[in-house]
Amino acid sequence: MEKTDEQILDAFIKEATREQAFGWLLQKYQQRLYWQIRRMVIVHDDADDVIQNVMMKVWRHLGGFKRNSSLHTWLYRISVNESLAFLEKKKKHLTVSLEQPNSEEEDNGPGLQIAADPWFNGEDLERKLQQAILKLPDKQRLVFNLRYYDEMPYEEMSEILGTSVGALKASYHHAAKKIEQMITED
Amino acid sequence: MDKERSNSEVRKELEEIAPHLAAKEKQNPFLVSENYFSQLEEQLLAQIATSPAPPKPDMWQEMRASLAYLGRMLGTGRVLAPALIAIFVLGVSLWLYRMPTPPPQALQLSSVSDAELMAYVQEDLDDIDLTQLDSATLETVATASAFRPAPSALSNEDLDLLIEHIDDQTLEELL
Repeated sequence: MEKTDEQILDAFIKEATREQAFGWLLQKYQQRLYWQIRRMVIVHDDADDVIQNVMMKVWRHLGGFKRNSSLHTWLYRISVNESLAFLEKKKKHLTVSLEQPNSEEEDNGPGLQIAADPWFNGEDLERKLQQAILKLPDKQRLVFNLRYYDEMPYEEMSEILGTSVGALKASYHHAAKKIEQMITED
Repeated sequence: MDKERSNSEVRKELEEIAPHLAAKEKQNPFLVSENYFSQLEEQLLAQIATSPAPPKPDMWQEMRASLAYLGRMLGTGRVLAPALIAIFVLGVSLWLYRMPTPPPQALQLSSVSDAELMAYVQEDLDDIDLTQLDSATLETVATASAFRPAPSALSNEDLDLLIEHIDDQTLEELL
């Protein structure tokens, strides 16, 4: 039976049950977090690196979790920050690579990554949708994913991203309209 | 319930702003290998076993967690009744334990009238009782003889009596 967040947290603060509690946390959250990360970084190997970083951070810092927000929100915040940090780092790396002529990474944009990803199983419309989502700026893409795929209320997104509900709503509407336009045009 | 309401709100919102996208069936196009998540879990549990232990939560955190746990237990009512009964029993026991009670023998004697006492002494004392009474009398006399009140508390009569019976050693000690 899946443990409640309270059971996980109460067990985690006791040294004797800490590892067990972490196991419960992994069972409950690792898949959700992985998919959130994967939708952001696209490539499985990258998502695997990021989820491992996220979970090791959770292991190191969960003891200091103040319970001012829900565990779910706290985990998503770490996961979102790690994903954005990863993309930022990758972009910098890509910028450096593009400045060098004859770089093999020149054509390695995320759109092409989807096309070449053996772990992508979408039909044409799905592929089109993913290409459209990838054209959004990172933070707008994040907002779109959290709302569209995770069906997250704006209030919770606001807690995770530290952005006002109004700004999130505007961002999501803007992103959804852009995607609508891209998937309907021929 | 909240989750369902939220999902329905998300759908309605999307139908209004992007009807084509809303009509499209939502799917996850990304794949992972069959055992990926169980392998990931094993890998992470192996990593934490070799990584340094996370900092120990401070006493306040542990106390707060315990209080939160107790609060939740009381809130759900799972242990409310037993907890209240335990507190009540403990409180009553403590109250009874601390309440001053007269010694049982004093209670009995105070409730016996002089006439009853005399009747008992005259009619019901047997040889054993008399033997015990004798030894008690001897003990009382011995105790009274050994009694040495402080010199400042002695009256003149006491002093005379004391001087008559006192030995040299005791007198030395008194001086």
